This record gives sequence, structure tokens and C-alpha cells, in this order.
Amino acid sequence: MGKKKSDYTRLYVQIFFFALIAVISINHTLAEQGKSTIPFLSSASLHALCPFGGVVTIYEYFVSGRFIKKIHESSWILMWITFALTLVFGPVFCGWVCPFGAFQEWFGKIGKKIFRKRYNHFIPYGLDRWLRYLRYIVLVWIVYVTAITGKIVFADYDPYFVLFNFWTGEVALIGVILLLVIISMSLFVERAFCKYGCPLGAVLGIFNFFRIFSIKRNTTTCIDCGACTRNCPMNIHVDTGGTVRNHQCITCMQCTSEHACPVDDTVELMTGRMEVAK
Amino acid sequence: MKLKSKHIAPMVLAFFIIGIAGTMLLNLWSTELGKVPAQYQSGEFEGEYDPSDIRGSYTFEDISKAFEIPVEDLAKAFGFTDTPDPNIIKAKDLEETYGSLEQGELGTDSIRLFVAFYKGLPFMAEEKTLIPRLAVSILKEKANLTEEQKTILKERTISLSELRPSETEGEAQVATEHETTEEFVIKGNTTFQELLDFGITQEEIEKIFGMPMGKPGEALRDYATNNGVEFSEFKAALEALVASKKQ
Ligand code: SF4
Repeated sequence: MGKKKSDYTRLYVQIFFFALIAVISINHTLAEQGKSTIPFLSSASLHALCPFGGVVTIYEYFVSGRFIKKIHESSWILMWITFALTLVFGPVFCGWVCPFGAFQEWFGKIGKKIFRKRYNHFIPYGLDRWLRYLRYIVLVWIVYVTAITGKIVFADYDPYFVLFNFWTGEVALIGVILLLVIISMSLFVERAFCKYGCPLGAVLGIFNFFRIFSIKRNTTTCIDCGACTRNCPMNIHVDTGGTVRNHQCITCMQCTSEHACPVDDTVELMTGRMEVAK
Repeated sequence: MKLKSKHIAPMVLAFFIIGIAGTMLLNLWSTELGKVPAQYQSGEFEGEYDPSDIRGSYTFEDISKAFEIPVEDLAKAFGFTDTPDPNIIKAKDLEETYGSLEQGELGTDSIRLFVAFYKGLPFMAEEKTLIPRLAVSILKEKANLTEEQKTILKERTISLSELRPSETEGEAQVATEHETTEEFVIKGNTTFQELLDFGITQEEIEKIFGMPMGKPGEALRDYATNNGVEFSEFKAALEALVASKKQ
């Protein structure tokens, strides 16, 4: 037990992916405008770099062997890479890679400064629990409408697309409004879009029930201080069970003994059985 | 087995790097759009690909795959037979090659029109869309054109030989079939197909040259050179034949 040293590994990874996507988006705009692009860097469109594109075309792909309009082969491949990663480590894509998740997290720091302990606890638990399933409704709606129309129907509503394309003038007003709503919500609720609206997060969340490496709590060494639960951005009650099997976990590792938990080897990302101290 | 942040970071990067590099090596990775046009959503042709959705970025190969039209037909129709690999020609290359003409436009919409008529699919071309005479010949040969479609094509036919930069001394000529009869001129790069389209028979051509006719897409001057004769020797005879047909 002892004071933890700050660990910025996850932050660095998030910054890396955020910067990468931002620079590629700028490069894409330059290429679209026929200007010279940043050398040695992809100028792919944002749609080409989002694994969710693969998810929405699953139905079309298995029925007709083709991708729906505007879906790139790269999206399909990224989806499978993400699935593999999630199967092993849980939704690390959400907690470590997704630039939109990182953006909300960083914005949330302002809310944390303003509201301190009340931050991320504004919505009553009873209501919040049910609201968390909203993202599955979003997922089903998108996959269904995409399957019957053969088009990316959510493109106009996609706040992630707006964030990395607002300078192009190609973003729909509804998307801008949604982004502003999400930014405002992030001042009160950590990762509001991830919790209530993200269809990709919904798919990846399911892997939490059978992932290989899980968040586990050693119930014998645990001192029941509740630090893990208090520090979980997704409001998961880590301190009430042995293994976290919650569809909202994003493998951010904030609850672990490496970060919030004050007792060594007590909350860990691991596979196999947690050794119980005799 | 326990993992810390310092393990997760390189693993995440490794999954993406290995996954992307691996699929690149297997030629599966592409951040370019899959070139699949939209389908008709209702009516008689529901479920078939809609030629009006062909974009400038589609290559002849993409179009060929979606509509099952041989790339050779597309290349021949739009004058890209000399190109080493016509598969990679993009629809927008037409605009770059022929540009916007005084009489109309030869571009992506011309390809849409060709594809639609080739496959017997409904399509309304833009007002200024033109179509090369060779494309019309292919359509006449391979598609079941209705009278209405024939009329549409007649009004929009243009001779590519008039547009090639090396030959574009004067104005590009658009010709309806009627006008064609009035303005058809024999040039070095006139092809046998154009002679046939004009109404000259293979027999008449062979009679003038005194040897078997070349391939339909072959230019007269090339044919003459390849056979060790001067094109100019036969030009006058061909012109006389053309003139006789005009009457
Ligand atoms: S704090 Fe722990 S339980 Fe909460 S999301 Fe992060 S890893 Fe999952």
C-alpha cells in the first residue's frame, strides 16, 4: 500500500491516436482541395478509419458479399482488429484508442474541476442504469436502417465525424448540434456519448461477458474503501463483486491497484483465478 | 497472468500495426471507397445497380465488375484502346482527356449513359451529355436498343477522332447521325469502325485497299503503314466513296 505514482501511459496512447486521426483528417481535406498533402501520411477519409463502418455493413456483406456505399475495406479490417483486441483485453478501443472518447474525457476534466465530487453523479442510479441500454437501441436502429437502405444513414448525425471535419463545411447542422450537446453533457457526465449513445461501444461492450483478460478484485485483500468504484468513469460498482462483467467497462484500468486501488495486487487486469491470500 | 498499462499500450499498437501491415501485404487493405453503385430501390429493376450512381472515381474495372461489361468494351467505346491498362482508367479521366466541349460534355455521364443502354437499364442523361460514335457502334452491336434509345444516341453522337489533341486543329465536331453524313471527313486516325458506321461496307473498303480490312479499331494511317503502303494513296478514293454516300 502507498501513494501511487502518476502513470500517463494511457493518456499518451490516447493523445497519439487523437493526433493521428486529426492530422489524417487535415491531410484528407488538403487532398480533397487538390493541395499538397503532408508526406508519408495517409489522406484517408474518416469513414475509412472507423471500425464502426465495418459493423454497419456486416448484414450487407453476408447477404450480398459487398460493402454498403461509402464503406471502405479498411473499416472492415479495423473492425476485426478491434474485435480481436476486445476479445482479449475488453473494450480497450474505447478506453485507449477512440479519439472521441478521449476528447470527452479531456473535456470532462473541466466538469470535474467545477463540480468535484458531484461530477459524474448527477443522474440517479435507477434511471442511469436503464439509460445505459439506449446505445443498443441506437445500434439496432443504425444497423437496421443501413441494411434496408444500403446507405450510411447515420453519417449526418455522427458527432465524431463533425469533430474531425468541422473545418470542411461538409458537416450537417444536426451533427454540429449533437456534438455541442455531447460537449455540454461531458461537463456533467463522464463520457456521456460512450455511456448512452455510442453504437460501437455497445457492440464492444458485449465482449465484457467473455473477454480473456478481465478486471478482477481480490475480495480477501480488499479493504472496502470504494476507491475503485469512485474512480470508475463508467460508474461501475467494482467493489461489489469479484470479476467485472459489466457491459460498460472500457478497460481504462483506473480502478486497478496500478491507479485508484490503494492495496497492491487487489484490483487487477488479469486472466485466470485471482490468488486469494490465506 | 496480470497486465499493467505498460503492457496494454504496446499490445494495442501491435494489434493495429500487425493487422494493418498484414492486410496490406495481402493486398486487402484499402482506404479508398469500394466502388459499388447504389441499387434501384423499387420498380422493375429493384436490386440492380443503378448506372446513375457511377462516380468519377470509379475505374473501368469497378464499372465492369458492377455491371458485368467487359473492360475492353468500355476502353474501346471511350477511345482508351491504346492505354496499357484500361482497368485503371477512371470515369473522370474522360473529362480530363476530352474536356468540356462547346457542343456538350464527354465525361462520367457519358459512361453512365453507355452502361445504362448496354444493360437496358433506365437512365436520363444530362442535357449536354455526349457519347462517342464507337460507343454507339458497340451498343448497336451488343444491346437491344429501343427506337427511343436510338434517337437519343443519334442526337448525342460525337466522333472521338475529331477530339484527339493531336488532331484538334479546329473545333471539335459533334455530329448527329444526319450531320455525320454531311461532315464525315477521312483522316489518318479515322478507324475502320468509323467507316463501317458511316455506311461503307467491308467489301468496299477491301476493294479500295486491295487487301483484307484491318481490325475495326485500327486507324487507317496505321493500317497503311503496317502494310507498307501510303495512306495518302487511298485517301482520295475513300473520300470519293464518302462523297458518293453523302448524296
Ligand atoms: S475503472 Fe475499471 S471497471 Fe471502470 S471502466 Fe475502467 S477498467 Fe472498467
